[in-house]
Amino acid sequence: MVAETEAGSASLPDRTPWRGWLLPVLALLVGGLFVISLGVGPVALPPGDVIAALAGRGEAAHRIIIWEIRLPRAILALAIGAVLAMGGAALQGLLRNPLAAPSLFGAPQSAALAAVATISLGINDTLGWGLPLAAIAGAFASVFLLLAIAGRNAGLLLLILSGLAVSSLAGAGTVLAMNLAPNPFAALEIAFWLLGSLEDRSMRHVMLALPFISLALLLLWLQRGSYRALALGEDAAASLGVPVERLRLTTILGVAMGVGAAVAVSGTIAFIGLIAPHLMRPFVRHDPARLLLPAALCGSALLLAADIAVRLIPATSDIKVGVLTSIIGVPFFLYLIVRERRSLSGGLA
Amino acid sequence: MSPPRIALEDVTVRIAGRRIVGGVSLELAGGTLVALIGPNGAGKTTLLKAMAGLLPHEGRLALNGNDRVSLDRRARARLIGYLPQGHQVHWPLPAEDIVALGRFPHGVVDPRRLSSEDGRIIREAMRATGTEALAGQSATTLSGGERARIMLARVLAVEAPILLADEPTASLDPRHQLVVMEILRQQARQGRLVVAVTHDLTLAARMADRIVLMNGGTVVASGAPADVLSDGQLAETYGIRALRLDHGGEPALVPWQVEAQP
Repeated sequence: MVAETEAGSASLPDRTPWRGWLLPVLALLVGGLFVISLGVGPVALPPGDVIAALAGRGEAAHRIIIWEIRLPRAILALAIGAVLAMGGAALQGLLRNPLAAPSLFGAPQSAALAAVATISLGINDTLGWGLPLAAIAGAFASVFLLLAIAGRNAGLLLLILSGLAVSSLAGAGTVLAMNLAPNPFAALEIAFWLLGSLEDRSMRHVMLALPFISLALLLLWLQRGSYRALALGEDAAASLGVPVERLRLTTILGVAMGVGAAVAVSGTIAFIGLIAPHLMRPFVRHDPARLLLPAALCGSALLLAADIAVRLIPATSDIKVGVLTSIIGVPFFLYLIVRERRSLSGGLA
Repeated sequence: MSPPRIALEDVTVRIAGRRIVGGVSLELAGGTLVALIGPNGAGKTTLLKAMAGLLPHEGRLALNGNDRVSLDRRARARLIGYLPQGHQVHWPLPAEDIVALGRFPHGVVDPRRLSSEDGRIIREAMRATGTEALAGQSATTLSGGERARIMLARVLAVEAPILLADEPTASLDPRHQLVVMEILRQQARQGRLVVAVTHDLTLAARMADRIVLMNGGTVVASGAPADVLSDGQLAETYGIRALRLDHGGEPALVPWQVEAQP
């Protein structure tokens, strides 16, 4: 029967033939940048030496540089870039809005406030764990505060408004902590920490952040089907069996956990969560579910590249990676505005 | 599939404390196309949403004899297909991916990885709605009528025994209004229970097996089209007078004139 042979090709025809290439190409890019990132620094190492040192061969000095200094930094760039981007993509899926960023519900701001408070109170000097743990706790606290303000079954609008309140509060707390800093050095330390950097991070930071980031990535990725169903609106998604209210909480919690852990070890790094999903969206035909993985890889690539760039840019004092992503982020925002204007004016421009 | 049933007993729905639907009792059974009609603000959409399990309600609402609350989310999603008003799509997804969302309650997460059965059902839904040619087109470039039919295909792909459609013919041209109502009638002929909210009294009178007329949050009449759409009833609930025609023995009704406000 004709119908039988037709039914044999079960899946819908793939109209994006390069789709199979997208993830491998991104993975290669991330892998390449990872190796370059290990090679860049005061002692420049070619990829061959980097790989030898990783395998435990080559000069002892190189092994120490790679394993002790540069590997933690590269792993953190990879993980933090991924979680910022997937967090952004997940929130954009939840809100059905391409301009949602991980900072929307105040998690990174709250993590930063908690971190800054430890510097201001001088807790961080005695306990190396004090700052990152406080930051993660701060991110979780922001979720509780958000739900306390908005209520557990709040709709999106109420959650966004409450998120605005939480982030404003955290921002105010942060400047207060700077204001009350015991000495100018503490204030300077806070200011520099807030800029966001991956310098001088150790495997301890990796061990601390990675479990939270991995869990967040997994948690958000598991919701992918629900984000696609939400494209039809909350009522239609709910009628398809999507637990809409639980999805909101899971997404907000997942983003807070991942971004909180990221802020805990790197300070605030802006725009990755906005840019990476946006760059990848055309490649997955705007599917919020298929967007998550490519966005994460793109985020890793962006942060690795930015972290390589800050080491290559000749400057008297170090440019922080968070500053670089912010500077790159602005023209990107302008581009979004121009494109939006074009589509609003009917494509005449 | 045993014929589906919805039973409502004294169902009241409040939104933000305001009573939108009050004390509705109804028995609806499979094999019928029910037109849910009534003036703007009568509570039609609210009642439909409550039936779909999207709004909390007071009173008893049973599906196939089971209290709806005892059903888990997935089971309910397989039992009821719900087509909301407005046919919104937030991302420019390809049309076929939207139709494939109808298989979500059956465990389909990735529209690129379908069982042969799921693929067949999706194609069949697109064939029934005449949307096969739109398969790869992005949802945001579809016309209003095309989008309405894609959304209908999405609901058909659920293959649920109960189908609740909120204004499925709004924004459609006359031909597609007839096509869509004919599809819904066929679904009912296959044993499904189809409830369609509509403002089109002509189509409702002609196509529906049963009409439920709401006004002010309650059901004011329910029964065969000829009984519900009496001159007195139309004057009282809508404040209109209808023109009645006879097309070879088939009665037709056309809203014609404004009466004094009820």
